[in-house]
Amino acid sequence: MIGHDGQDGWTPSAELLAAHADGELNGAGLPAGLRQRVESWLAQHPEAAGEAEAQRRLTEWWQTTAPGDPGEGAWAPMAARLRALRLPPGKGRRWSRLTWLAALGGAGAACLWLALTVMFTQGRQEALAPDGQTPSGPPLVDASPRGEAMEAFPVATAAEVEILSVQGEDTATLVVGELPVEGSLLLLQADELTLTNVEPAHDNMVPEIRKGGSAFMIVAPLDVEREDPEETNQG
Amino acid sequence: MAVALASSPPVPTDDELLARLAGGDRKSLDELFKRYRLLAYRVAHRLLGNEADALDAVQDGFIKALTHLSGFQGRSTFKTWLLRVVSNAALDLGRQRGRREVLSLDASAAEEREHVDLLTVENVSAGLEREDLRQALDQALALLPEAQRRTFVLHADAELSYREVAEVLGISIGTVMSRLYYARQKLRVHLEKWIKP
Repeated sequence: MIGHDGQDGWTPSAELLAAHADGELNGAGLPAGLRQRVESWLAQHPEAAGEAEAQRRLTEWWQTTAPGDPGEGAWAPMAARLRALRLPPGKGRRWSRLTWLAALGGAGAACLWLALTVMFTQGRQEALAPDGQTPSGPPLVDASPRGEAMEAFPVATAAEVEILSVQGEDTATLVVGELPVEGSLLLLQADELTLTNVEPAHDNMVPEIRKGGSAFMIVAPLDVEREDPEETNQG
Repeated sequence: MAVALASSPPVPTDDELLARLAGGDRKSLDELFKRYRLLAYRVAHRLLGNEADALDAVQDGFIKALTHLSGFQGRSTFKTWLLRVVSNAALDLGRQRGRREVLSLDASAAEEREHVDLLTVENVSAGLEREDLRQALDQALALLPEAQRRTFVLHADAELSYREVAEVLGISIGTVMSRLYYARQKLRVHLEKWIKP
């Protein structure tokens, strides 16, 4: 990049000569004395300056073709949208007494709500375990008075769900099903679904699980242990 | 004779405006927007090829930048940080929508604005030539790999120094030199008939 030693000594690269023509050899991050070295070389090889000069002229010409200002008519609505933005509080911003009071009030309300929710949930779990055994966790779907799981309810239709992308941090769980989801989105209780085997689909990323011939969407953890075929055969 | 000069108030730096904005001063937001909107627009327009998409990218970029100001650590300048966000927004938008043909809303809008001026034969000719040039520029830029295109646009249109371009893209100055050199070589070949000797 910087140059190489030819038969007559050091020769700067074409990129370096262009950077010199752009006046960019004084900046930080470059070897000290580089500009002087290039200028000494150019003094002995003036014919080499033409190519770099053509590059500089191209930049100058390009700048004359810059897109014009779209005008205040285009900027005004954009500025209005920016003004309406709810910006996060800046670093070191002082809270007013009113803000502190509001925050304390909000925190108190949240604590009260949490306490009531815990009490309510415990009461329901005890009611669902009449034999005195402690339930393993809160039910995903409410149970009927007879203790049977109620039918899961559709929460969204395919037309209402569009998955645009899956972020890297979300790959600990997988969205399973056809994209976009066909039919209704169903929620299942844990005991309604048994994973016997998970095979990567054609794209090697999304396991496809079907129930009753139709695809549905679930979110399953990726830590399902795979069955080692060799181990199974031996056993 | 004594001459009294009215002293204009000093222009606040970006850092001062950002500090005021963090303190809730919304006028600083307007000031930052006015300061960098055209620069951001030029970069977005070159990367996308039309006015409508460029304005969308500028708006996306400013919104992202302003709502994530906590992510601005001050290691670079606000200008380079903003241009990084805006150029990312432009490239994302370009991937989503695909670069539109040059003769699009942009061209129609520009032609509408210039309609009155284009009534004479000379001006019609000049307008067509300008449109040809616009197409040639767009096609030439489209020939470049994305990395070279972005590097060149940041240097030529945003008028960033090599060091600033390196900062925006997170690459070395040597890489900036190399990308610029090869980008300009290709542009020179493609735009030869337009560049006056």
